[in-house]
Amino acid sequence: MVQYGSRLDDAFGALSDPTRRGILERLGRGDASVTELADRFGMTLTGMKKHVAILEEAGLVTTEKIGRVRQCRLGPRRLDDEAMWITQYRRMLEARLDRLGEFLARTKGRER
Amino acid sequence: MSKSKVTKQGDREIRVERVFDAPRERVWSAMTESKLIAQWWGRGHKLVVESNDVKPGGKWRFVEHAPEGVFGFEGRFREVKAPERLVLTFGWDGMPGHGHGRELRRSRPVAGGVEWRCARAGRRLREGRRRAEWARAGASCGRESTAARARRPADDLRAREDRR
Repeated sequence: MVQYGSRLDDAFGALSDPTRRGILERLGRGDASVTELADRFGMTLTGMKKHVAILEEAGLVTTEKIGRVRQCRLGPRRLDDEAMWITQYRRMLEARLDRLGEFLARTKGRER
Repeated sequence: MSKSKVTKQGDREIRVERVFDAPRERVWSAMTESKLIAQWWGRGHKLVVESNDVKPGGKWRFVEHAPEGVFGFEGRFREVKAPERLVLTFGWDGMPGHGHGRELRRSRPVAGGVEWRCARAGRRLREGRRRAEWARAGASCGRESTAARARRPADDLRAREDRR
């Protein structure tokens, strides 16, 4: 079995930032270029590219270069994807119960 | 190596079973006392227990400080029956309109310790509603909307679990 350890899944990291959640919300209403997104969220092009790259890495967004414009749309891994939901919570639960097991072993015989 | 047994129940529910080599009461304390929760719940990360009012209707909020970011989880306790049964709602700030639902934990003594069975069920949202929750969370970081949602539990999970 895979050891998940403390490393959080890509999607969790991607979604931990309010700007990135905003980007997904915006793209849910229609495709947009990186420039449009940067304007919309009041940040530099470089800053927006970083956010988009993280979302792309997690499969939440895809981008395509059309001429000189990089167009963004929601990726194949949708937030309503059941497999994703199950995977996230399974990992969380397993990791926490593993830690609880370790904690109980570590403190065995040490009643308060 | 994880020692949990994981099963999937339908498309919105998972069940994780795990046997702990410890008295039932000790596991209960570890799951319910703030000082002890802080030592394992954060999966090795710093954990801040902002609230942990272990009684029916009581609120809990734990914030995990991971290198990748700060992750807030919260919900309310629904049923509290030491040392065997804990029902709570949960939500994650980062997944508004999605990562929330109900968690049921039950313990029973078995050979070698106590078995805890955790089941989690999510709630399916209509597309429009999901978008609305995303939009709201974008503005508020999800905190208020998570609290509001926690009052709408996935009751079918409990009904199904109780029949087992």
